[in-house]
Amino acid sequence: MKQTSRIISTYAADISGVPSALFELGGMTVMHDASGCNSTYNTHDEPRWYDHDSMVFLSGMTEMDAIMGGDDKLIHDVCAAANELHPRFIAIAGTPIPMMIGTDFDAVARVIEERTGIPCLGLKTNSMHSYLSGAGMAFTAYAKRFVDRTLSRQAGSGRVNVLGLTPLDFSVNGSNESIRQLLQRGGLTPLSSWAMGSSPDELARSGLADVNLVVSYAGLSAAKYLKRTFGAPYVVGVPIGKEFSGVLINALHKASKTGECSAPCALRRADGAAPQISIVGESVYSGSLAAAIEAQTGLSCRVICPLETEKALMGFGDCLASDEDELIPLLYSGIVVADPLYKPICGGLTRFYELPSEAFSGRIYRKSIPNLIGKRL
Amino acid sequence: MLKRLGEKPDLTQTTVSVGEASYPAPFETGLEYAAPARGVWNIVHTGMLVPESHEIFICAAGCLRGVVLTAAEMGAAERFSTVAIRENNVLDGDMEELMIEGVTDILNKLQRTPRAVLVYTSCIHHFMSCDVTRCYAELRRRFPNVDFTDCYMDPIMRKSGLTPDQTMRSRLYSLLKPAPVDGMSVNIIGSDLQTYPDCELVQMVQQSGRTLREITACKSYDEYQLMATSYLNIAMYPAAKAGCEALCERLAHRCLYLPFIPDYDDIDRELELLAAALETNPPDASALRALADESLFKARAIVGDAPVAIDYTALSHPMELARLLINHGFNVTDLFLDSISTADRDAFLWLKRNYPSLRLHPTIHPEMRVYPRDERNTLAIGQKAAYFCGTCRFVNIVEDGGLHGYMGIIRLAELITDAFENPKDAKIEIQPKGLGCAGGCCL
Amino acid sequence: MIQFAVYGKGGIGKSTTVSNISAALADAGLKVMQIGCDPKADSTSSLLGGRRAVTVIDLIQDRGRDSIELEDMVNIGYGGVVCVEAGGPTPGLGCAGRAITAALELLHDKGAYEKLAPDVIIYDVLGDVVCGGFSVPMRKGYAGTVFIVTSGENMSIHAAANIAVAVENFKNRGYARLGGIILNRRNVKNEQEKVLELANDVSTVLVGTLDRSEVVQDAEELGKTVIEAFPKSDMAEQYRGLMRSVMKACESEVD
Repeated sequence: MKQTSRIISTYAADISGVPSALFELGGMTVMHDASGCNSTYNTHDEPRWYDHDSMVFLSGMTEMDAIMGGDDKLIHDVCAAANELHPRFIAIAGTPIPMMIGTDFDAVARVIEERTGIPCLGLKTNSMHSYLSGAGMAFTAYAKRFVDRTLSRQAGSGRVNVLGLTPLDFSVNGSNESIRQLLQRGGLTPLSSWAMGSSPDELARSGLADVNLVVSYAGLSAAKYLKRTFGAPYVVGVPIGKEFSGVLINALHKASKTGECSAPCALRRADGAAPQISIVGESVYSGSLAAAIEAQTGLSCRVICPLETEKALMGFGDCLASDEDELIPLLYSGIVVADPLYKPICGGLTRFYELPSEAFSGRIYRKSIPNLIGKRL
Repeated sequence: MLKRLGEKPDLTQTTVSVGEASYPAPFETGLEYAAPARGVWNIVHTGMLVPESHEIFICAAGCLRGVVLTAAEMGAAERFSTVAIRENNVLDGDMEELMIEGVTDILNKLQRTPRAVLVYTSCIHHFMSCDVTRCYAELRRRFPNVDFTDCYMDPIMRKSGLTPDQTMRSRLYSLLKPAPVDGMSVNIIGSDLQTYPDCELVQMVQQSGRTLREITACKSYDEYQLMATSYLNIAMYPAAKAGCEALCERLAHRCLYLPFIPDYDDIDRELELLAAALETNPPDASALRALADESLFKARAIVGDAPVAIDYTALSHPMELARLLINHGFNVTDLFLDSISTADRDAFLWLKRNYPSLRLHPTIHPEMRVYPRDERNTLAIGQKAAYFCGTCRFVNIVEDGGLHGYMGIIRLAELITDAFENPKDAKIEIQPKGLGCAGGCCL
Repeated sequence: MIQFAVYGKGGIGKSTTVSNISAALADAGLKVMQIGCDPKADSTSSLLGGRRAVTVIDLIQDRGRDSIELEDMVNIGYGGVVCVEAGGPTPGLGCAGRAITAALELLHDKGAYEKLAPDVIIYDVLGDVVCGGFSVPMRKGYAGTVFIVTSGENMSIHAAANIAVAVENFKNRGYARLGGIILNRRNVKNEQEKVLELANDVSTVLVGTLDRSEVVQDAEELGKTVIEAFPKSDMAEQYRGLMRSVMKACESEVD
């Protein structure tokens, strides 16, 4: 049956994707919710929480607040906190009950901005979509608001932004820094990472890039916006493994010159061979891993994607499956690479290789999440 | 990478002296911050106390996230399942069918049918006015050998009646079936942690020839059902009181509310009440008081003048504890709490008169996000106090820690000494969820 | 205790009809409670001399549930009719369905049904059953019978048919049964025939017909029901007849 899960976990939701995306940018994120969303996020979905003072708060909505629907209390409380803490911007994100009562987050954001003078983004999350949707929404809204449109791109090539970087996909194991270094070694000039390890000023200059590298589906929507607005193409893939990293670097140089987008994460053997390895996870990372394994070993791979994605990011043999009952027959046998919390639904004939993901198992296997950037697998 | 903010922030919203504080809400409410102190139990941990039970949560994915991973972290994933509500359910209005068919689907897939199923519905069910009564009736018809009970993950209702914590501690005993009362057993109701066996309460019950039952000690569902044969139910934690009273009304048991109040007169009063209910005599209070004094003075000698901070998650009567420690010479400087309970009002007024400079701090005010956390010499009692003080000397305790009575005070003094002499890393110790839960928390 | 609910398109005259039925029942010596289930909170105003009662939701907002007593939630109107208004948010905001549910739950928690012990409870419910909350008055423990007020106008008939379908859908849940249609004339062409056809289509009966009359508006302007303002009028007699038919339909359900 759809929507039921006897044992497997659930991915971080859009309400966690928003603060994860905006964590390092000096803003204040407010989850419009009764209780629980903020502690779920900062316990399971945010490895940076303990040591870093990013402002993520909860509105503390009550039954009567929801029945009466007046947003005055929310607006008042956000303004009060903003006036004390002086964030660079404010983001308000929704959960199921605000969705049900039709809260107009754009209007709320407009009122808050008028009263505080602080830029405010209203984000229509509802806890029913994955973190990719929330992070994507946040990155795009941030781009629309803060990327400087007055900067004109000088002639050049190889300036690149990395889009879609959150610990939900990459943990805090140095992957973001490895990507930056790999790009530099590949003759490219990293401008900014959206959004780990870069300052707001660096993100503001993203319009100067010649090409954008999308490392998660969470970054695709912002990449499309930057293309529409500044003309920079995007390349979709994570530089995993030595061979595939080389493919990606070449694709970035090519796109930088030609202006054409591409999705190397969707590269698969298309010879009709039954896939020997199934990789379960977010489409860009898993697809890149599949392409990397094939490039290094020749073994055929497919991606089983339980999350939002697009057809263009899916390679030959890849499929979508999110519900437990859809996944079980796909994981019956063969080699499976997936988060350990998928193991209980794999068949007895499966050879299981653990590849934890913060977005699925949270902090449980955090110490075991490998940094595969540019490394031989 | 964002680090600690360089400027010292304005802390006016985060500190008020007890002399100036108002009751019961010393701080303004608004947006809420959540500190990374996670040891307090949640409704997943508490629900798992029913042996041979299975939990099924029916919520939006974002709401499921925290509870799914709670179960996984405590090694209880096999006893935990979910039904995810999606937008189409809200729009189509088939929430009740989703509940009935979803629970049915899960139960049909389990290798072994559980004795009891705790189904947790959510805020959305209230707002869509779902007829969950009808759903349970149908589920009971389909699974006549399973005991179902309605539980709730509905924090939006937390100011509309009982809090989610109170409700969970009540629902936990809703599965007890009426049984002949034998007069020879006594229950402790609604505590997450096993009661410290040396405390007077436990000793008095056992010395009266009776069996003491707690859900934390039940190894099987049948053993849990035996709790229905007890004639006396004792609630020892404030959030357990309402559930205990409801149980007593339903099963016609006697009810006693005997929380851990670290005050000698209150302890004596409670022991008298218990003795009357057991038809025995209370222990010799003067001897116990002397022992408690001795242990506190001994701890004080070791701790010296080090500042002491207490938070509300450690003990249910933090102001009473502050009063006790101050009266034994401790340098209590800070209390971390968001409100003052009626039970602590007396101690609050005493502190106001006698120790007005004691500082109170909220734990959820947004400014606490930038609280300096540089009081490293402080001895903290409680995880939030440990975090906000930035100290490595702390008593890692939640929800009264199973302590009670004079022996509870003596044990607390030992814990204070140990905390002072054996520093530990708060970042490691305070982040696992559900301190003391059976599975432990694998991290 | 007999409980019934009255539904129908907004503006069709439900509250006027229900208030007059309440007044007629009170005159007949019965203890009546009328509960308005509409955020507009105007169901009982003609029983209260034209004034708007404080709503249950107003009270919850101002004082919190624990501080509210049963006496705070009720107003005594004409003939001793116990008047309650659920209340709810202003248009375009919030969740009116949840408001109705919350109000009915609170009445229940405060023991309204046992302590007030009315002989008859009437739920006057907002125009269209748009979400779960609006069906609460027809659930187990509440109304046993539903009546739908309609005119011969097409929109009103469509709304009535819609509500009847909802009642039919809930049949296997043990919810209220459909007791009948009440025709509140607007004097459109073939009105009687159209409404009889509706009744037939939804397998129910026409329990009463009310003429269009200026007396109704005259009474409204006085802030009273017709039963109170013009007791000897033909209109008042029609309301009494309707009251008897409705009670007969409910009693046959009880039997």
